[in-house]
Amino acid sequence: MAVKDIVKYPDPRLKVTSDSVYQIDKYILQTIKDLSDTLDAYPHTVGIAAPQIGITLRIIIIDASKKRNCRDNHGKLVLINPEIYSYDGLLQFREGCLSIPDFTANINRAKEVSVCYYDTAFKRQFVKASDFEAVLLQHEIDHLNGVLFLDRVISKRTDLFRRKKYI
Amino acid sequence: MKSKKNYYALAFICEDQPGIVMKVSRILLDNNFNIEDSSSTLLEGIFSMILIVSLEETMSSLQIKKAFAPLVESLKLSLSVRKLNSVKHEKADSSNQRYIISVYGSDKPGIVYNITKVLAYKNINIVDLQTKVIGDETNPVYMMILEILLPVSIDSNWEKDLYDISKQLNININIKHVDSYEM
Ligand SMILES: [Zn+2]
Repeated sequence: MAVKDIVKYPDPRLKVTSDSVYQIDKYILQTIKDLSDTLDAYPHTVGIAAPQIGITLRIIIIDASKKRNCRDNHGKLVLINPEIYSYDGLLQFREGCLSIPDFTANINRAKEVSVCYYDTAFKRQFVKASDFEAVLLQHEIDHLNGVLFLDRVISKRTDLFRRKKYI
Repeated sequence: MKSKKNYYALAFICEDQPGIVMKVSRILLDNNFNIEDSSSTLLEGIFSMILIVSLEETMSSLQIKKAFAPLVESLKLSLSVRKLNSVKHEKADSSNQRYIISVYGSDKPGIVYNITKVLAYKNINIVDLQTKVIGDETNPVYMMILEILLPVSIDSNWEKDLYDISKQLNININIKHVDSYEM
């Protein structure tokens, strides 16, 4: 069991493009184990990306089953070098991030994504996710590209009301 | 309460024009204030802004008003200053007790009062509230959006009471739980 400290913004490791994984070795397996242990240590956290424990490699773990009443999910998944190859629909969800404590914001995301990735045996896999799980995948894959949900915030007020000009 | 900084609430209201925020923040900067939290918006052509600011040293409300006096004069601004005893940072809601309520219906007196009366009786805290008259002049529609936080112990009837009062007022109401998870 190795629960790692969470890297928090403004740590520069959260704003860089992470490197691809080329083979599964002891270091990669240890990183996956640490990520998994760290994810499990936070009851309200449903996903984690390697840069969040300070390792700038393209590895994420998601677990949409930790959300209450989340139908249609693939449970706990380790994704190595994940890449989204198709997006569909639009969905707004209030996101939070372990690396940005005590802040949540509404973010627009695709409602459905298809992702290819490598599993822990370095076999190529595909997953199609929708709704909450799709949001989660997009949030974690953003971390691998140095993108935080703060980069995608849309104004809370103006999306509801456009004020008329008064003369 | 955070460290030994001094906190103040500053409220500004004036007719909208470009440059208000720049001019206000320049005075804050010159006097070593930090803006800790703020909200500002344009309401029917009136710019309104509330800032929670902090300061390492101590300044009286009167001294702050003096610092803004030239701006109050030139922008015809109204300013109120209040010294705060403490500030509470709003934590991300791990308790999952956050809801968005939207209410709309043909414009009539008492919509805000009757809805918020139910919330107040149930000890439910409003953290954000916006209202607007939409529609055209012949059919004005009143729209209200509230974000609320439930108290730790809450009587389970609160939603039913809101639906009941909406039915009496002949308005529409939607109550949505805001799920938020860390990722
Ligand atoms: Zn995150």
